[in-house]
Amino acid sequence: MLANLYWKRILVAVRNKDTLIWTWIFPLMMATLFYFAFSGLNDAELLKTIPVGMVVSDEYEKDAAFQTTLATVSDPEEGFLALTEYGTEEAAKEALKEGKIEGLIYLEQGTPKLSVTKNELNQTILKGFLDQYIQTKHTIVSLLEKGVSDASQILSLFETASWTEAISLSKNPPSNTVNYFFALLAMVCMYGGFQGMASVSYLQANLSSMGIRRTLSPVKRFPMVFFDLLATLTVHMACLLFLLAYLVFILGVDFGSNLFSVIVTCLFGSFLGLSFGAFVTAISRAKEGVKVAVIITVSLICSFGAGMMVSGINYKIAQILPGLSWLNPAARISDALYCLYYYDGYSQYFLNLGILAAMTLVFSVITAFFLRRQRYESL
Amino acid sequence: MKVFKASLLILRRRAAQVTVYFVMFTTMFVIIASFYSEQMTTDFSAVRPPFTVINRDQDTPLTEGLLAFLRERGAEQVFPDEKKELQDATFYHATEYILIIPEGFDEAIWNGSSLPLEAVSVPGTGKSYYLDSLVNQYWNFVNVYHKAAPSLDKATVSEMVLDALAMESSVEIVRFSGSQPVSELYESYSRVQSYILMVLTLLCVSSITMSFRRPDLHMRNLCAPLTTRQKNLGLFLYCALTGFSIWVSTSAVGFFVSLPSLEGTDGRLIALLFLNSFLYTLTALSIAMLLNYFISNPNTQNAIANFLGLALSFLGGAFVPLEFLSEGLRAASQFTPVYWYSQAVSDICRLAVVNQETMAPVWRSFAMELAFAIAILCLALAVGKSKNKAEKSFGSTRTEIEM
Amino acid sequence: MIHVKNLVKRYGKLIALDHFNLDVNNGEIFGLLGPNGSGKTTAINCILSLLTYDKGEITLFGKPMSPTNYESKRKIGVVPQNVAVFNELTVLENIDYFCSLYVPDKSKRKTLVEEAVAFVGLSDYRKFLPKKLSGGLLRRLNIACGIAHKPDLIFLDEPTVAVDPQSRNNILEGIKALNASGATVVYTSHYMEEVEQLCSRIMIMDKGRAIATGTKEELTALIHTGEKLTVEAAALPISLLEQIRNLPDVLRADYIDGHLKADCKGNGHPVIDVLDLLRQSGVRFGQVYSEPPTLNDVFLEITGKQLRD
Repeated sequence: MLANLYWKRILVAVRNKDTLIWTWIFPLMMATLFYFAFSGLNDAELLKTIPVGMVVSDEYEKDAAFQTTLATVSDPEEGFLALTEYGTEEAAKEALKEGKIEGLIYLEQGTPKLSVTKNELNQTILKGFLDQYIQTKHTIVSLLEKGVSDASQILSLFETASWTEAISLSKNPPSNTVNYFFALLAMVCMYGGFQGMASVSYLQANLSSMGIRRTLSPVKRFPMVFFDLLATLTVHMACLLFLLAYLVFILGVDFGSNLFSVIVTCLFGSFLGLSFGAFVTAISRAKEGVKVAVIITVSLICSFGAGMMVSGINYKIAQILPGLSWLNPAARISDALYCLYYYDGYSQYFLNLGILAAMTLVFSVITAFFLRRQRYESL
Repeated sequence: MKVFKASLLILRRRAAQVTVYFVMFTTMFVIIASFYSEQMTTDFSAVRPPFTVINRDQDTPLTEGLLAFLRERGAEQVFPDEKKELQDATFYHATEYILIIPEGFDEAIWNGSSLPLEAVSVPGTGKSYYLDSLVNQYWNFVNVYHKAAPSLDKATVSEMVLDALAMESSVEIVRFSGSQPVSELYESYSRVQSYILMVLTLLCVSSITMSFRRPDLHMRNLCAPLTTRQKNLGLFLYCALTGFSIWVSTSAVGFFVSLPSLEGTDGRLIALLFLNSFLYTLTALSIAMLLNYFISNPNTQNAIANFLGLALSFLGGAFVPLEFLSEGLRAASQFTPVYWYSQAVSDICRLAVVNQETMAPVWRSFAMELAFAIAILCLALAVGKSKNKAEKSFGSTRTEIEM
Repeated sequence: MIHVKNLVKRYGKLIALDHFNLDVNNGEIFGLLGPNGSGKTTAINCILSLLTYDKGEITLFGKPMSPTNYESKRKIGVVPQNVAVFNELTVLENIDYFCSLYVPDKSKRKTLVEEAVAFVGLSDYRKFLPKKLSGGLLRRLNIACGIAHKPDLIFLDEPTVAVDPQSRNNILEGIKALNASGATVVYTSHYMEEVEQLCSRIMIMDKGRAIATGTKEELTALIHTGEKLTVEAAALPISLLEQIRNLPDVLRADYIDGHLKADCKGNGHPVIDVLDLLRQSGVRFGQVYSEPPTLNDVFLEITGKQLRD
């Protein structure tokens, strides 16, 4: 009998078009959208060769040191500059105006100067390079003046390899895109609320006529709720696993090596979503449309706080209003996924799951309090 | 007129939904606006990327000197020496570069032995490259000065190095345009506006058509002594009014939020941006007309409106600059109206001189938007004709087969 | 089988049930008749322990009814006023689902479900989703879901609202068949014809009170009006109408649209007298027919208003 309740409830959940749209299709569309929209986001920050112009003048042709330095940094293999030489200043300015080059270098009494059109990073890097040239040149000259006789000795002093060594603090590199997908999964977890809502309204005599039938049946409340929710949980987890598989295997999103824990996170998230929906439905007799609106709005706001529209907003909220961040279930879910991806330890991961479990418990207890009632003032 | 009044009444019933979107959008924009606090200046100001120095060695004149140097050129972010804090800060770009000075580094450099500094950053980014080169330059100089004059103490060396590093090349910023272009804030608003225009228009229009297209209601309307023309006129009036109000209200929000940054901006440019968003509203209206034939319940309505709104605004570069999109996607986006909208925004915001020649690309974008609006409207009319003709328009309600 | 004593239910200031008493015996088809809002559904919901009530006692099968009285619930079948089925499940799946709440055994359930489908005449629609069914078929499905487990006591709350005549007949025949197979039925309706045709005992309700209970004959015997006589007569003179009115067994008489209408007293049969008078006066008359009093007359006479409005 209970197996029948379970299977039929699964059928109901799977055949429901509304939940199909919101929990299966909409997230899939969003995932695809994110994938294409953010495909270039990680590369955008990388340093690419900066196109730069140089006006050829007599002074430039005489300045061998500057020429050598420029040649080194505009080496096609290792350098970061793409140098174009212009015969006249007009031609160079025209190129700068059209945006073909990001900076224009010219020499004035042995000192390089820079013309740019924007205050951006590439311009800053160009300036840094010129600064370095001036500073080094100045130092060599002043050292020579102070009596260090051998210029080649000084030059050798400058030939030190890098002082720094790049290390990584985390097991996976930071990524600009992965957090969007974390937040997306969190949103879908929250959408479990639709399932929780359906379960409760099918159960309560004052919410649906199906509820009247079921209240009048000789099956005890607890097993009925239990198997109902178990069925919806099954469906919702299937939906999350489907989305996860799409993200991992088709879009190639990297969730780190521990996929099992990612699934566990989804499970906790589903519990939270279900109990949230059940809670919203049980506590009031508002119209179904209103409840759907509440679930969607709360889910969207929470996902926004988890960084679904603007990545990093979750970090800012956590810094400014930590309490709010801890109370945002979507932020907890995406943070748990972030912990798995990024941290070595599991302590914060488990803390996140613990908070989700606690929220689920609170929602469930309040819901249970309302569900215990089987007699109503009015129907 | 009856249809028009009924439409307004239906909309009023659904006002909450529309308000939620509008409020969400306005909040979103205010948040985005907070990212654009910088003002345009005519002097060159270098970018100051955020960095963090974790000193596990003692504070010495040399490390102090490094900090002083880096603070000149970057924005220091202080984080406690805890792994989790530093990890989070790197992931969320609170700092672009973390330099860890290991214990004994100061002594090592003074004795000529090498002990590498540890640098944490997203590998290969421009900002980390820049900061790394600054760090290397500093320690190079320290090394050179120390080796050149081994007798000097740390404080003196640090002072000399800082003196040397204080030299900067001169940078001039060339402005090819005469007047100040439209502020970045307002430009970004104009891009985001395409999203809310699309979503609100879709919602408002489809809410009505959804009701009017309900099979029984549709049948009743067909039977009523109301000519198709009267009915369409009513719907048309409704669309025009809502479209206009959406356009006015979203434009007003953007204008007033970015008002402080618009001082000195050529009024004609702002007028052009208004015209641009108006043309896009027309496109959105015709898209809504087309889509209403495929929207039958509030769930598909919300899903389609959100998805289409988001997809189009991503293509139009509302949230992420267009350069970040993949090549193929950018090429494909030319076949969407939002591309031309966003193109027009870019062109207008960079319009230095308003004349026949410079305006040409803007007019072309406008024409493209209008063409899209008309093409989609024609398509919508064609679809509507075929859908309304047959019993199809009543959908399959119920089988009336009886025993 | 059902015993309700002094049941009082208030919705705020509105008194929905006012010292309501009810006794339903084993094997009856008991009809609750009353206009909309007279408290029929409220009474049933109270009996089923869906609603709290302010006062009174309710026993079913000799035991007090409560939400946890699963023993009694097992023997009850309910057909709620609104169609209560899952839109996502087919006809067969829906019946099976609700039946499984009562009958755990799978093979036993299978026969029961098939029987129920055949019983309501939905055999051709087994695999249909509810939204593809017409109103009447949907009502039948609603009934099948409530009775598949062969309950001893069945509550049907207005099962024929908005149903076409064929389906209505099908439903009414079905209820009789259920009763014949041993089930006690409680049936609410505001269609007096149905109740008259179907129920062995009837309670007429108004404003939360039971105003009369009994068999149809007992109820009609309660009132002064007896049979109602209609005679098609051309050009009836006023004086003759007066004469008819003065006949001893005639309660009221009127002449409307060429028809003479006369209400007769309880046991009187004045047909011959009336026709005699007409013949003597040379009035030509055509169709003559006589109807026994209806429950509407009962309701009209007791409450002073029509049942249907």
